[in-house]
Amino acid sequence: MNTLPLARRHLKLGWCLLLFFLTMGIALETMHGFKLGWYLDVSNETRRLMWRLAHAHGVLLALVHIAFALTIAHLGEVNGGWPRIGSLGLNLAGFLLPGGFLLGGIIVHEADPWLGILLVPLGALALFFGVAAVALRVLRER
Amino acid sequence: MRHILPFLLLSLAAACADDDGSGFFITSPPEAPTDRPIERPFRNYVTSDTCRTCHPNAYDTWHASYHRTMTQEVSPASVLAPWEGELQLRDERYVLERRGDEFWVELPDPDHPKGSPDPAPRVWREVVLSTGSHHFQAYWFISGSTRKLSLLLMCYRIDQDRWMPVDSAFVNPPEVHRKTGKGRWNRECMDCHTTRPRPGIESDVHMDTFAAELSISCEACHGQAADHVAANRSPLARYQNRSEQGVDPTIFDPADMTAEMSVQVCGQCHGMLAPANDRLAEKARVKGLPYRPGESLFAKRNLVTEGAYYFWEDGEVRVSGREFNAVIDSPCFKHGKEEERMDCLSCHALHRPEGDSRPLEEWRDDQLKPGMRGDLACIQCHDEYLDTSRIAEHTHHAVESIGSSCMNCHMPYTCWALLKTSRSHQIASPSVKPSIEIGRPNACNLCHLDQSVAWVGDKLGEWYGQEAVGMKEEHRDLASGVLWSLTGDAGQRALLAWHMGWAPSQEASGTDWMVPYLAQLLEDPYDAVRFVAGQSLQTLSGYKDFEYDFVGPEANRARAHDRALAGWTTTAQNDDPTRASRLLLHNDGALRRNLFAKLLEYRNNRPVVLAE
Repeated sequence: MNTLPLARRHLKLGWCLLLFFLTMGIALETMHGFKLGWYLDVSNETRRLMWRLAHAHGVLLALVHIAFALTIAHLGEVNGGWPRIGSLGLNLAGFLLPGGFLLGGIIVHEADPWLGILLVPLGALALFFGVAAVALRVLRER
Repeated sequence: MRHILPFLLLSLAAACADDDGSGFFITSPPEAPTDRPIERPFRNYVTSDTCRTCHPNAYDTWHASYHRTMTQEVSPASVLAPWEGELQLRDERYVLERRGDEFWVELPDPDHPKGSPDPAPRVWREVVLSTGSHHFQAYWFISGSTRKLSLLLMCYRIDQDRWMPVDSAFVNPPEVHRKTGKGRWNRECMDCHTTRPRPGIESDVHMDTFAAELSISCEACHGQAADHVAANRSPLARYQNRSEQGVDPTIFDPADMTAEMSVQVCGQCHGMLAPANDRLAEKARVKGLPYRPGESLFAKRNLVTEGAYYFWEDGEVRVSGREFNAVIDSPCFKHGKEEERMDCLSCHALHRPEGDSRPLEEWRDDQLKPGMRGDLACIQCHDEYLDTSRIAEHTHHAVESIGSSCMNCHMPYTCWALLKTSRSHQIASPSVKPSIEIGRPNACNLCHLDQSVAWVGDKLGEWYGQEAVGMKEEHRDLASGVLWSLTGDAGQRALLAWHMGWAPSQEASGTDWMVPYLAQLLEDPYDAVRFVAGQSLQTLSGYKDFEYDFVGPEANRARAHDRALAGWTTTAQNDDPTRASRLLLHNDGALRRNLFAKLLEYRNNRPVVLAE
């Protein structure tokens, strides 16, 4: 299988996600700068936590996408379906994980986020399978 | 690598552990001190730290409240008084000393036997707990035997940044002096100033005292929360509860309860209650008398309704902080449908409402909901007065005037504590009857200090059809401010002295006749009366910078009296000759000194103690 087109897609997606979550980070910093109660008040502590997690997971997953693209590009022609499993896992995780945190923080009730948080465990599972597929293949590499 | 990994992990564990063996991997709780009351995990109480996890906002607003800081372990963060130098209380000298983060006091040995011919040796005692952080802060030191505490007899007045005798903070006869009260904190104070107290008083010496939490915290009002925590650990349970929007049966929320049950939560401390029988009183000394919010407060307690320290003779509470007795005896609580009854939460917000734009200090002063310091508190139920034309019709005062304020008439400042008045929570209509029969100033005369009680009686008869009451000469001929400040008992004099400094009274009564009366009260036998008289005098024109120490030497106080009078002139006699007469003024504005002195001879000198 020629992995170059897949690598290109993940490279584009990784940089786009990085741009999005970098922008989000700037927005969060701005809310800190202007001391917006909607984000900083103790009653919104859960929202702050959720969105910080969304930002952190988004940035890290963007880097993982880029790393995945570089990995499969480095390996060149490969056999088996693992690149597709890894790609699917990372794609799902890239949206579900930070998206779940982002949605979870829109409406909060005391220390509990909104039901959008349920996307997070799904994203975590997808990430696990995606990373596992790549890791197992890379371990076999000589 | 395989052989190195365990070694690395062990090295890391060792590096994280402190010298005492505690650390990241190995923990051992520090030994609890044995010479002071402590916090100890108590059956089903989880403490506010646990509540914080799920209720950050509620925790935060409680943390900002004076309930949290009612009892504090002494530390540089909690002690508000400057802890240095010496304090003198009569013939006793206290030396204050900081030792790192510890606070110590040197004083005559409180355990020195009474009647001993030898003077008490001086001893050092560590101060371990404080009480209060709003108006005053009092300090408790270890007694040296078990967990029993003694009171430092000087307390700190926060707004004035000064030490003063604890005796002076109360209406207290000058000849009566408090003792260090060995064990008083364990016996009395902790009952309301902690969460789930357990006094552990086995004898006068042995007290194994602890509490679930040393402050007045979440579980004091919401009840023990272990079941609630267990039931809500699962996120599924939490989301299900939220979607059902019902009452969570595992925790008590006063806001969800009937007025009758809700007021009892506050009433457990803000009421006058006593154990229902001797057996319970004995049990309370050792195990405490737990009250679980949601249960009947009267299951183990009786309401106390008489006693000169706390009540007017007709049973109305006259000290601040005991509003429960007053509220449950008020028509707003007793009448109407259950869901329409007034309770504490009708006006008060124990957690600062979200979006409340008032400064934190304003909310936490009395923990009122926004707008509840004014007429909104009453209009939320009595909405007929949204029509302002009804207000003037009802009050016979201009709509925007202080005489049309609901609370000034129905909740006058007739309660006293901590050197100030507070509003009576026994909501009632003004009447001269209690003023004549038991001496409780009526709301009208507390603004119209320059009018007689009879004048008020006439107005109430004319406006509201109240029956005339038989009056004595002094009720007809003297202004209430004159009558009660010269002939009243210490409690009445304190109220009058305070009202002479209250802006609405000054507006209604004028101020230029008040100086002789306040000057006289500067020499009052009671510290509390002198304190408030000095404060009120400073609100009068020309007296802003008047220097006066209410606990200074007697000769200085006499000089202060003369200084106050020296600069005083009045034109009050020009308005109305009968007014001048009521205020003991000659036609030229001079004071009728003989009559003034004569009335002073009739001062009610019965000993008055107003406890809290």
